[in-house]
Amino acid sequence: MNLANWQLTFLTLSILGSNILGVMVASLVAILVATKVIGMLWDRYKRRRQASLKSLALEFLHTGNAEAKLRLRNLARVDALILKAILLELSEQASGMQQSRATELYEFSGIADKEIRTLRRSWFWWSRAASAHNLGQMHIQRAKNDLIEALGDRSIEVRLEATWAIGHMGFVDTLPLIMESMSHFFKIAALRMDAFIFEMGPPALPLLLDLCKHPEQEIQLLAIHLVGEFKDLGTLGVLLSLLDSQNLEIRIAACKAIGSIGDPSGLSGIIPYLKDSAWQMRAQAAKQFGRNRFTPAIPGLLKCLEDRAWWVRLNAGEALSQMGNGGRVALKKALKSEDRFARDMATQWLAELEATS
Amino acid sequence: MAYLQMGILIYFFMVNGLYLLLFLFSCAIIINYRLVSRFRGPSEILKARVTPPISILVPAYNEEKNIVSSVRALLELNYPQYEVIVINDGSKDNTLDVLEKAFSLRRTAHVYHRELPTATVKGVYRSKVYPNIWVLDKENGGKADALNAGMNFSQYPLYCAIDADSVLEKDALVRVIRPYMDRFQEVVAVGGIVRVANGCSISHGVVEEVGLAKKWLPNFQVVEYLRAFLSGRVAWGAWNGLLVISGAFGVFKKQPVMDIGGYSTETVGEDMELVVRLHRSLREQKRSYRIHFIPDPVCWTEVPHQWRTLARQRNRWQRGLGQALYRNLSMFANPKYGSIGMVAMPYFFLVELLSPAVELFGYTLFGIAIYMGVVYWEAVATFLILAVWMGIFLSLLSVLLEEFTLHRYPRVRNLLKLLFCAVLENFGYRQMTAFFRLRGLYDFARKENAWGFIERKGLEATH
Repeated sequence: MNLANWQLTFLTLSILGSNILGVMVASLVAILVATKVIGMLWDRYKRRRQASLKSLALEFLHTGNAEAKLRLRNLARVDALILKAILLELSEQASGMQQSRATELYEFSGIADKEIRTLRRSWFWWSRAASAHNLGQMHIQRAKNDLIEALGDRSIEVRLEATWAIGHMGFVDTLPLIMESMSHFFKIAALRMDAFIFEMGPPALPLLLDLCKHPEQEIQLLAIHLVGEFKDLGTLGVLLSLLDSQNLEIRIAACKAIGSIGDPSGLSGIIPYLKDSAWQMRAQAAKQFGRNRFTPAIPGLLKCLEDRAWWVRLNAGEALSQMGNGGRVALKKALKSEDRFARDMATQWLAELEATS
Repeated sequence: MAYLQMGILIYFFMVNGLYLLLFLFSCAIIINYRLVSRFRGPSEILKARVTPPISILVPAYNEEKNIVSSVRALLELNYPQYEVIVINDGSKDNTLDVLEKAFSLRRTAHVYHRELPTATVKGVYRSKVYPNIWVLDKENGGKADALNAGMNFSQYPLYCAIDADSVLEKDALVRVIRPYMDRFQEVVAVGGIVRVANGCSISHGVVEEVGLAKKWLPNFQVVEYLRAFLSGRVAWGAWNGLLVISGAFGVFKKQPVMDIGGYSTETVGEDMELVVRLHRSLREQKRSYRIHFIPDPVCWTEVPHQWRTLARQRNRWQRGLGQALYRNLSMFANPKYGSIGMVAMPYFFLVELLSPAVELFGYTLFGIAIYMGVVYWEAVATFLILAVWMGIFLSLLSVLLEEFTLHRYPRVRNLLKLLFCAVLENFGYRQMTAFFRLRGLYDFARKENAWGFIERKGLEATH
């Protein structure tokens, strides 16, 4: 191909490309306008239908009127969607009889069946996740097995929603399965599990204590954290035994959990760990004493002001500053220490105390 | 001459093809992100007892106009536990005084632990009213030095670096922490979208109404930011190939950054240089890690409203890019660094660094070729039209992606204005910024290392 031909070909292709791009730009703008218009129309329709469907749903929830319930059967697909949103919204504030009527209506209108089908079969994770959540929120007990199956879903969102739903309905026996399905997502799992175990209450505790000795570290860490959140004195024995674990993360988690419980018998057990070989453990122990204003730890904390690790000195100083008069006296004593770092830290926290008093 | 022309054409198609690919990928990621957001609301993270606390570092040099509103905005943040550390980097104006007055600061005897080397810290102040506000008063050492000082002083495991002329949204930290909640062990840094504050109504450090500026220049930058953040960074973040987290907003895990010696004080693009060095260090250690980018709008910043300020800013960005790539040149096309060495580094070098030179060289070359009669002017003209259409197409896609997913400009008038800007910026603005970047490239080659003064109006007077 000579130069002139090449340029002509290029000219033709450029014109073609320009035209295609022009059409695409125009189409994009048209799509934008169309979606805006459709959105506005949908909003208008939804508002209108919401008013009548909500009044029927409310009537059934408050009075149990069977006629209102019958009128909400066999709704068109769009109206069923609106009713679902209404019931989910109402169930957030409902309890007792109203909640069971909301559940009854959810079943009666066929929405629950659709949700279970979606949870089982939908290709889209967001639909499965929404169904799991909705089934939990509406207390559809017969969906338990489907929700347990959803704990093995490939999408973490579906697993999280299923966890929430199971917790919301109080199925304690599912706890080990849940821990295993989510242990690799430590923070987000712990976040969900916090809410979950509080919904379940004390029946979850024996299972959690077993899981504190699980061979998988992630599960162990999660269980220790959750046990701490329970603040049950009966768990201190297990937690104190974990302070001698070979694994530093487990030891730190156990220390934090004991601090969360905040009982003197547990805190006394942490005092020796102010001399632990790992600075992270020493710093964590100091922090827990300050958090609980545990004055028997003052001599140990005073020694920690001379620690070679800055974080340990900082946490020890802060802990002493939180311990009232005893801590203040100890900090003043540290001002006369031969160790320059201890003097610096004592000066810092005493100044802080003075400024805030 | 013909080979040069062909080379430029191939470059054009390669670059635009890459942009399109990045855009398509970003689209999928943003849609997925929005779907995930439906299931993870901020309230859950706020209530959780496992949400990691964050130290917010605000380096400030001559920021008396913006600093108070910025810090006020930080006090409004929805987050369970955080501290704000303003680092007054030897300001010559009244930055420290205005902070002292606005937040009732008192000097403390706090010990400054100098783990990373920094310029001397003259004093540590704490607010009497808001105990989580700290101010470090130090000798001037540059932004990187100020951030290193902030890191030395901070007490939490994560830190968030922001610019003093930026305003964070109320839920910014709650959103940006999400990747850490998913995989705390692996995630080392998360960047968020930076948006243009010019034209927005800001009161007491909070964006009350999102809008556009009256001037065209900031609005062109709105489109440009949308294009850069929504398509480029989102896609690179998903591939774990993100080489830059804007200095205006990013949350980092402190220890890995400390381990590599903190920010480099020898570059003007310390934000990019740090991220590239993090990649390098973590890949060398063969550690499994992630550097994320979240597409939510989280940080609002004032952009230049004058051409000369814009020129200085773009010049600096280009020098920073050059320095970051040059200082880590051994990663370039090096299979040892995986996708970073083989894909991200070459992309940033060939597309981001060299594109202004190629673009302006192309204009000149085609001009000469027409003058010499080597090419038909019609062919050049249609090529230019194609290039402009492509530019418009990509910009429009970004605006539309914004509208369909994030929807931060609710007014129809603003949307239309943005669409118009997406067209108009291709006639003059793009060429001018290419020229500014070319100057930056030239200054980089000359080893020019000055920051350049950026004139500001103040965040609450940007519209």
